Amino acid sequence: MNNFDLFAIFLILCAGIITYLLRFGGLMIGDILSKHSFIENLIKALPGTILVSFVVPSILVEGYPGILSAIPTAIVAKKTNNIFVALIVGLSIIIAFRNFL
Amino acid sequence: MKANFIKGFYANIPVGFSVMAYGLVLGILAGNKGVTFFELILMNLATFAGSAEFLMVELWNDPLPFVQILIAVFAVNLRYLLVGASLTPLFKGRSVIHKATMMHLVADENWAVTMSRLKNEKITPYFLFGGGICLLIFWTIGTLSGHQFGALISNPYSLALDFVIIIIFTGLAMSFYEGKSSILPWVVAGAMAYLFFILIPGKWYIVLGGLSGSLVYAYQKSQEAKK
Repeated sequence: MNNFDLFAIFLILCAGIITYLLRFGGLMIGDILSKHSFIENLIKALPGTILVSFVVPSILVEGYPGILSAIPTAIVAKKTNNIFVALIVGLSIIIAFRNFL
Repeated sequence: MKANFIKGFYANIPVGFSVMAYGLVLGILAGNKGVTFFELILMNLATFAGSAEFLMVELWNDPLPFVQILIAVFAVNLRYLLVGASLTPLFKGRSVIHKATMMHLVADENWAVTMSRLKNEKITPYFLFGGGICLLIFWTIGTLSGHQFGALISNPYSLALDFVIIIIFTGLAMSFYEGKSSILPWVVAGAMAYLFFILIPGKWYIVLGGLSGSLVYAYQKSQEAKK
């Protein structure tokens, strides 16, 4: 990709506009949203389910090293509430598998 | 105005360091994916949303999957609708223009700091905005130095750089884990994602899996409410 790829710039700006509209839109429709509990719950669950959908296929494709690093990562993240500690744990395991096992 | 801006800026410094480290990883990944320095700066300024930037970088390819990236950004940032809605009390009585200018730099971190401060102290939207500027500085330092430094890495496979994002997202997912009510939605999301991953080319499995799981969650909650 070139240094000044106009298509890429346009894409990034669109992503920015979408994100901004969600932030601002949320504030604008604050009162309305809370009255529709189904939509509210749907949105509430999305970050978690999106992340799960993102990781599960890649973990399964990686096979048991993927599973054996993902599970401790999840447990450490939940227990410590610290992504970095979790990252170090998960990353050490997968690096060990790829280099030594 | 000034006092609240500075107060918000200082209050976000501790969380700023973790944002910087997180940004470092994004910068390294972005460099490896062929996202240019300029494009990364633009992402930071235009979207200013960690998860969405990670997703964009992950999906970044030649040719760019335009629609898929935008749908993924939309889906992962949909939660900002709720974040925005929850800020209604902070912005009470403010003009639309004031709201429009203060909302751009709302991220998970400065939102959380602001909401917890709002419980015991009378603060203004400038507190939120000051926090946003603080995070933007840390985020930019982190991502850009990662981008520069990433080129020095010779063997990304043995360092498992392709798997870093999977680990980070696995960890991040846990912050959304609510206990029992998350189990079925997450199992459905994971299973559907894997199914669509096999059946449909491209990255549609992320959005389709996420929507399936969320529908289960919303349905579960509506059934509970009926009881």
